[in-house]
Amino acid sequence: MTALLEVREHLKNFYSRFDVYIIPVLKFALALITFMLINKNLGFMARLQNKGVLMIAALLCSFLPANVMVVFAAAFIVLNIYALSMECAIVVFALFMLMALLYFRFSPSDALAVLLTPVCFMLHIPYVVPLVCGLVCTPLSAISVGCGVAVYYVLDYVRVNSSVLGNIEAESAVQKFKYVIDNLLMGNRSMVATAAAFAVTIILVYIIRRLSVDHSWTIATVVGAISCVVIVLVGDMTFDLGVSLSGVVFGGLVSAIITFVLQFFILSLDYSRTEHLQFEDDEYYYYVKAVPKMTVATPEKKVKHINSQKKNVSSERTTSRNVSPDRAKTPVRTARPASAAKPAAKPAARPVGTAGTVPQNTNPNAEGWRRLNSPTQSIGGIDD
Amino acid sequence: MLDENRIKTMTRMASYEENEGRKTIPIASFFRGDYISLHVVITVLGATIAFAIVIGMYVYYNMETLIADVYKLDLITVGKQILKVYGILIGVYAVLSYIIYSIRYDRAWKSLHGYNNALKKLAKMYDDDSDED
Repeated sequence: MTALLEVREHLKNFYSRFDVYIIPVLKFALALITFMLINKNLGFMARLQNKGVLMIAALLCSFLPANVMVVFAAAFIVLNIYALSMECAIVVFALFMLMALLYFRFSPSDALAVLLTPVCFMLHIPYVVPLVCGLVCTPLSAISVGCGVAVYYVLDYVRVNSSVLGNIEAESAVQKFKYVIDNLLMGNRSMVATAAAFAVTIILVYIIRRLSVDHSWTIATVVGAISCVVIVLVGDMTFDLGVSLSGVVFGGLVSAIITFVLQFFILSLDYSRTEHLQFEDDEYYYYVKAVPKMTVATPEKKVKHINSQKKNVSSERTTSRNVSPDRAKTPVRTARPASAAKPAAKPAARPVGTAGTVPQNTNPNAEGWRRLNSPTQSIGGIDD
Repeated sequence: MLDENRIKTMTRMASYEENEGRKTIPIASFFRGDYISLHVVITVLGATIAFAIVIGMYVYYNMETLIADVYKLDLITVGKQILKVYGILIGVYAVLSYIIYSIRYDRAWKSLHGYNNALKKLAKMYDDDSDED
């Protein structure tokens, strides 16, 4: 466990040092994976298959705000579907517009959940999304994840029925439109069942992880994974959705494992050192339960400086031992270069004189600077 | 000459401006009433567009039925019903946006309290320096 905690601390330190580079790289990777998955599943427009277009779009996403990635992904989807069927593209575009205008106007940061949900579906780990959202977000994220589920099932429907949608034998555009609406939105029971399962899971996980019980996050993850799997299977039995039992159970298991890994990085507590405190002030009596976080000090590299003056002297002495006995008899001459080098070596030699190692945090402001450079610096640090 | 305290204060302020301040400082540049009313208006416009999309899709979906029954329809009653639904939607969204943006404005000012203190402190440092000169 200590080794894992050390690895976590190293990763955290690495991230805090190089976050300026890591964040754009991660955004680029996410954007590229998303666009490639869209093209793989809905590659109906030949122009968007061009790798250069994907790379340019992903590069733009790497330094623009995260929501731009969502806009690009939506544009890729609509354009691909437009190449297949205009009516279908209109319906999907209207769906995206409704999502943007009615919900993401208030909560733009949640728009990323709409992107991540279909991506996790395509990577066959869909249950990670409700579990992680329940752990780190609010119950309102159920709406974002529900929108993400709707997007995935719409895309999946278009992918599976592309040959039918491309050759709808209808007399008029209205009939085509009606066919698309009936099959894409109204008759998609799997979408409703999965969205309901995810929403219930998010709320359940959120409620359990906020309980004042030991290992609440772990219990929340396990209960959430089981409930999600059970609701999907009940939906399958009720509506005959045709989902694979082994696939759902295995997916739930893998998602729970991934959530545990993420949980380790987000919050790991040491319940063996829990403290229960009680105290009062003028207005309240407090019952406090304090659970310490698992932390481990990362081993710091100790740089041992060899005093340059001593080094010179010792090297001279070594030399003097190796030279001929005649030259060794002249110690004054051998000592002279060492004394000459003394002023130049003085600044470097100063800290060594005390401990032989570089002193840690001898500067009283060093901690303050490190805190200031931390990305999680809050306004509390500014307050007087 | 370098003033260590001033550098510390300015660094903390810069750190705040780079992180949390990116959201809060633009909010605080508005008066409360202006900020909330601006966002309520934008939300109402958004909800109106969304309503128009839904109505458009409904009409297009039921185009054949509507064309066939257009002479039987009481257009005034239908119009009133549509306006009623629109009014409810707009009302709900206006109230929601008022609550959400009021909370956001208050939170932003609360968060900026420390930043303002730091600004005052910095101004005082400069004043002290100019007095010494």
